Amino acid sequence: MEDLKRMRIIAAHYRNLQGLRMLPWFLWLLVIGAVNPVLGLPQGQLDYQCLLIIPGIAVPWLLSKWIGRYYDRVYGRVEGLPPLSQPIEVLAGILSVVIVYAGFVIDTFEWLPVSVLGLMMAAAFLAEWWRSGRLLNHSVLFAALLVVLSLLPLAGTPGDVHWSHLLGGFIILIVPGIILSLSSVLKHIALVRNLKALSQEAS
Amino acid sequence: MTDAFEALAGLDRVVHEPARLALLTALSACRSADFVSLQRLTGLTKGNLSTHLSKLEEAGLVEIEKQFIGKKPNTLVRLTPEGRTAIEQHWQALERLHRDAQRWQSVDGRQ
Repeated sequence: MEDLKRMRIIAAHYRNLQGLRMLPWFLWLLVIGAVNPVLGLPQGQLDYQCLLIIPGIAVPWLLSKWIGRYYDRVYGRVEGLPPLSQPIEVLAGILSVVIVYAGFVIDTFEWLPVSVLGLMMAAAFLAEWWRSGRLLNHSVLFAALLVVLSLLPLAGTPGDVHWSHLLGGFIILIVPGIILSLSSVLKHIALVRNLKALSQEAS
Repeated sequence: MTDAFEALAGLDRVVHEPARLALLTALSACRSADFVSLQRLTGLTKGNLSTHLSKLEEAGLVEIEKQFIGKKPNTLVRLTPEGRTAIEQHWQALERLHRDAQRWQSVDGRQ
């Protein structure tokens, strides 16, 4: 019975567990963050950034298409239940966009000495862990890490580093880039391991 | 206890067979799934999966749609409304039986 419940959860989150689909985009986020001029890396001249961003959109798009084909061929397609079937879910979707935008504004203008987007991301990881039937345990670890990093500015300013630089470049782009990339790989591993376990139990 | 045995005997055999129960459970969590994904989820061989899907289709519990994606054939499976009701009711019955079985165990333990 527990196996069937696990299968149900995997079927419900089949596409989400195909984490490598999004990996090129998260790596792109990481690259964009790494060249962010606020970190003192290559200075942000317009032509330099355009050179990076424009092909940068094409490369992850092509890679994610290619990875998607791999998943469709090897793991098959599962069409999830309609996510916006109820008005409450539509409202929740709109509200979350508004909240994320508000968080972005608060972080950009440093109205609070913490990263609101970081805290939101931590909440999203916890929600994902809960919704996936506690299948993705790494999400809890990432949520904890994001909470610590988001609250770090409360501990004071270290040396010459200005928190706005860290909040702007590090917390907003690089940390999510690393965490989301790792998370996407770990999701794929969770999918492979669970499918293998289900297959072994069936035989 | 007689009620529980009656409930057990009353379970729909088409649904309760382990492979078919697995297929219906997987399908109940999504709108549709293709042949490859069902094979992955249930660990069934192609032959077994085809046989069970045919039985479920005969019983009116699933719809099977054969299509082409590009040049490749693709078999799409989805629950019919009757199938969705049947698996939901079946799970409710199983949960009830599970609870009853736990109650019997605790009664046995006390005796």
